[in-house]
Amino acid sequence: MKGSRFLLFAFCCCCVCSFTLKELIPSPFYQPKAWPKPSYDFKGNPLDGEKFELGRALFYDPILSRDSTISCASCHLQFTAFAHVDHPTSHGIEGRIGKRNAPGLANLAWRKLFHWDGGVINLNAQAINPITHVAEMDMRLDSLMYRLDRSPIYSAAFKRTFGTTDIRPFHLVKALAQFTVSLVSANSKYDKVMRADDNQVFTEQESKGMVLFTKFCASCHKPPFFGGDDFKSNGLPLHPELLDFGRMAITGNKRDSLLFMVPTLRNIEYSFPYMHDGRISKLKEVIKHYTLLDYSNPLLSKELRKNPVRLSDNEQKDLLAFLKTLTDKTFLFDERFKYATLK
Amino acid sequence: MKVAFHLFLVSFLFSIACYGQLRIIPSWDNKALELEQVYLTENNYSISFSTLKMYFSDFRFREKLSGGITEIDTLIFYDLADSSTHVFFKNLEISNYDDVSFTLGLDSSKNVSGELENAYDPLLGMHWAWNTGYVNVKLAGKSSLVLTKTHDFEFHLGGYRFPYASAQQVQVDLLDSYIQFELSLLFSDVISLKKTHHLMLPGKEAFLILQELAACFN
Repeated sequence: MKGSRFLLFAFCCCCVCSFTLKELIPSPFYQPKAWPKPSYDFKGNPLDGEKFELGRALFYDPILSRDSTISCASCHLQFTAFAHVDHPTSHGIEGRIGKRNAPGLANLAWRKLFHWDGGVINLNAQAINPITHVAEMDMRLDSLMYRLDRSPIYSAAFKRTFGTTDIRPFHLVKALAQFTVSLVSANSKYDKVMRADDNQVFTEQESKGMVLFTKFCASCHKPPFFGGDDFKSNGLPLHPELLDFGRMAITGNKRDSLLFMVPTLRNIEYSFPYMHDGRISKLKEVIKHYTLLDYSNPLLSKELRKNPVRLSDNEQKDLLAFLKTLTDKTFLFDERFKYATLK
Repeated sequence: MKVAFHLFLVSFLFSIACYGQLRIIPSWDNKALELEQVYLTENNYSISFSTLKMYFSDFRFREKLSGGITEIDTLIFYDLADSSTHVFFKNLEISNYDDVSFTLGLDSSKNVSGELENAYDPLLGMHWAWNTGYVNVKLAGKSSLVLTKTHDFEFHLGGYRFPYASAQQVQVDLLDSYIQFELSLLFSDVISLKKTHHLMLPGKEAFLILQELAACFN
């Protein structure tokens, strides 16, 4: 009798354990060694593998757009570093064209400001912008909540993960943030060399490129993120049709005219085209842009004016070789970030 | 007696029914404001309102006897179209207080808090997506003063950045359990709808209009 009771107890324990293990799907987010503490408020949205899976499904699902044709991934493709390859500016529903180059998504947990003008100050709130923007998904939030609520898959998923039958925008954006905050790219050749993984070393050309990078570029594109929450003028003139004044639209300060966020250079090899409006299509042309700048332009960022980028043809190639060491293929092809739906 | 009879009646009946609660009553010429009702400005132009939404925060009640201050640091959303948002502080004995000060809108810390729940819910239509933050006051309608085909006007008044942090401090005596918000004062000479009938950006204009809106409370 005692034996059968023990077996029943053991069976129950196994059931509970297997259920618990199923609940504890890990989030792919991790903290790379020697990196600073993330800015993201994980207390407000603790990492949760199931919420990550929900966020991933939403990220790839055009259900977020008014006519169900555009998903987040339409402009943020994994194999191009979650940027919009080959399109100068983002595409919205009905062929609408935005005025900014969709930036790559990586290491967002360490960012405080989002978008080229820094107008968004919270990763959770960021998703509301493309969803409701008329040139992007053009979706009303109340309609979207209704749509998600009516979806058997999503209503069940939100109930399972957030314990709610009343899906609100904060549930949606927290789920999406579970996915986007987990996009950590810290395994490029550069990272491996810095960590001395597997005796990885730079080639001679890459080493020369790193010296040039440190001298001319790193004051704005600071490692380990190679970009971030600063706004600079890189000398690009105002686009005559887009008329995008950048940071000034947010602050209302004329001194911020034509200042744009310093983009990350991680995976830059794959996130073409370049600059805030995608006007430069090749990485070597971006380098050339800096070598041909008018450094007497008083509107140019002080880092550039103080230290003009003067590079020979060979030095430009060296710099390009170094920039390619920032490519993180484990990130670009990470199975955990690829297209998925909920079952 | 300038206060119109039906405003008096509404507030009187409300005081009896909801003793201990605080209510904000928008008005036009001292009559309770109704959406889509056509009113006349001082210069006999027609005006009607389709939207009036506001945020209130950081309430400080001064007690009658002790002069002590009761602080309630909360964010309250008001929508004229939704009567469930019209009554605040259901457990507070308003008759115990002489006056109240509060913020019309949200200060910078609330704007950047990252909260998106309850009064911060973007579904309330006050969240600014392109420039993270909240509209302090949303006001829309039609007026013959607006010289466009539709005669529409729309103001999204907000912004928390220096030098145009636009949330305004308001202080009013608590003679009754309601606070009147006389909107005709704003349209008498402050807003020239002929010149400005759409405003969606933070900045000096939004700041000045909110300053005048704050003066409409008494």
